[in-house]
Amino acid sequence: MSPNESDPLERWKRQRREDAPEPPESFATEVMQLLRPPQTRSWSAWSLWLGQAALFLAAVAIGITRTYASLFLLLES
Amino acid sequence: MELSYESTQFAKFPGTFPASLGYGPVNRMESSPPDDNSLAARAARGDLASFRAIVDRYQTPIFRMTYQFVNDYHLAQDLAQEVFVRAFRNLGKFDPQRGNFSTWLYTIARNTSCTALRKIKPFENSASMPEVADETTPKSHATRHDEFLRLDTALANLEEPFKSAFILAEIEELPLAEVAEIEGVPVGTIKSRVSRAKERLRRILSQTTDPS
Repeated sequence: MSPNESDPLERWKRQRREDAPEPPESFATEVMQLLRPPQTRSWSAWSLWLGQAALFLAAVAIGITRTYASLFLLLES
Repeated sequence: MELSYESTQFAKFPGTFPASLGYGPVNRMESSPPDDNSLAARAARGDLASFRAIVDRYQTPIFRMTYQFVNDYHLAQDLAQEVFVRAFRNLGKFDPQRGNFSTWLYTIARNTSCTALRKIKPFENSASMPEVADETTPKSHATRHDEFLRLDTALANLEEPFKSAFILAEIEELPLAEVAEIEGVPVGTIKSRVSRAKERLRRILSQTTDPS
């Protein structure tokens, strides 16, 4: 037994070194995902967004028109 | 240059670096992989493949270093990830004239770990800390002697400068000059801190073995 082996402090240090775990296999991939720049909207996402906005505006326009029409008919009668 | 993450996988194999990244036929013939400084310079210009190569190269030492500081597998993993993210964001500040890339990276790891330990300080004095860590450690510590557990706790309770110097110099076995650079103090100060840390740990050890 070497002098270091008989020293509990040295044995503990060696044990800590040996027990230190390896990073998981996915570690590097996870790090790179954290660095991924924010996704830019694809064309399909943009067209979907524009379609939804157009539907909303059309619904608002129809609503306003119907309200005015109702008021106009009410005032006329 | 935009790179897919799948394409960064080649960074693990230096011989297969594509010419589009500047690794022409001459470099393909070379057996030595690109050095840290050239990888860091490319990564600083946004080359994610070069940064992936850095992560592949240093993930184990950085992970093991953070583990030695916090003694908890999952926390060490989070901290090691944070180290690489911080490194990537600060690559522009790395100056090869002032020191090695590895030392710069270890300094970030040391600072990140110490900051995390300050946040969990209220729980650190708990005697159960090593046992909590054991649950998440792949290797079983079942055979670890009680004195080892007491030394783990004693190390966790050392003041930051002593603990840091001891971990880097004695457990990670980094050269004293590199530890001094990481800690930003002279080599003599590191020797003194390590010596005092060992003295305190031996005192704990003597209390363990000495029934009186």
